[in-house]
Amino acid sequence: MNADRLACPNCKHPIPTESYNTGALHPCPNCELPVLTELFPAAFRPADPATAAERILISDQASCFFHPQKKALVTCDGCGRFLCALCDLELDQKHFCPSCLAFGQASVERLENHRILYDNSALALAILPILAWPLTLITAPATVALVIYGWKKPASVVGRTRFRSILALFLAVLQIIGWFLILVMVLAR
Amino acid sequence: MAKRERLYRRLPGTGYRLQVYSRLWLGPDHLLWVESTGFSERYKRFYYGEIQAIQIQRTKTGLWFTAGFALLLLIPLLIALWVTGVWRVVWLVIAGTFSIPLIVHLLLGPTCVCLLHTAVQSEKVRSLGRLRRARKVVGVLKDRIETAQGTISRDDVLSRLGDTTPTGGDIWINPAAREAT
Repeated sequence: MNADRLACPNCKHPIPTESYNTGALHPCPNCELPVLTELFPAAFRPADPATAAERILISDQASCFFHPQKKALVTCDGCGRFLCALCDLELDQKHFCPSCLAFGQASVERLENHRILYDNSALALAILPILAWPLTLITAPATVALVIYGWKKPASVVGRTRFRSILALFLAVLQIIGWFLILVMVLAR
Repeated sequence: MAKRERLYRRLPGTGYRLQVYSRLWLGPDHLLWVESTGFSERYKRFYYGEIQAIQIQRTKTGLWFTAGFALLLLIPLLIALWVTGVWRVVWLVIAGTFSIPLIVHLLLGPTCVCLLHTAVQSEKVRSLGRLRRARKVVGVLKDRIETAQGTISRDDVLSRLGDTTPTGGDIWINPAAREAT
């Protein structure tokens, strides 16, 4: 019994196995577009079957919070609830319940899939309104506030310096000083 | 936190789609795909131990780009041949300007599509849109994947795929096929 073969990305025709792992491009038998296919050992590794939860045999055994009839094996590292084998979701050597994972209580870095770039946002807020410079009366203080708010927030996962935040702050302060000078000149008249 | 995050090394290539651009970063135990709007980022992680296959296919998109850029170059050239005097120089300069994207496109080489297969998804890697670059990046990835999973020879692959025992020839890439078994 064989599972489906890898298909041509263009026409979805199965790619002949003879062209796997040759390091060269081979034409698809159907659409003739050259395709290179590299298969790795993980392709032959079936998924681990899910562990079945055990029923409670002794009445004073601890039970799972979500399945009262099942024996508790671990506690959730997010909320402390007892979990059976089915509810136990292991990540980075920690155990979590489905609720903690679903509602973000599990602080596992590799689950993080979204971040806001406060430094880029502040820099855009400092630069773009210069095109309509009266707007900078509002956006300059807003930029300063955004830089302060986002200073301690985590930046991009791939790592970046605070250069953009500092530049945004510098431009915003210049704009505020500019408005201050305008106000002084107006009042002086 | 900042020191840990600098463990990523950026791979060549940037993919563009509407207002979003995507890049690949090489991590210690996973490949990080970053999609950015400029104001926020989304991440996808592909662990080296879980990547089952990679495919690169040459596409015809490059030919269409070549034709389009050549047309952009040809029109001012034809006009330059038709006019005289200073206008000829002007149109030649315009033609020269339009030749730059064509030259860059030809230097970058043929276009391609790259697919990354895991047990749960087959992801099109938008940042690897040029064949030469894609092959180079896949070469780097292959080293990391083989370090995580071990190597498998071509003969071994073919013999396992030809194995007709119940699980011998299965490759667990297509989720639907896996569910059917």
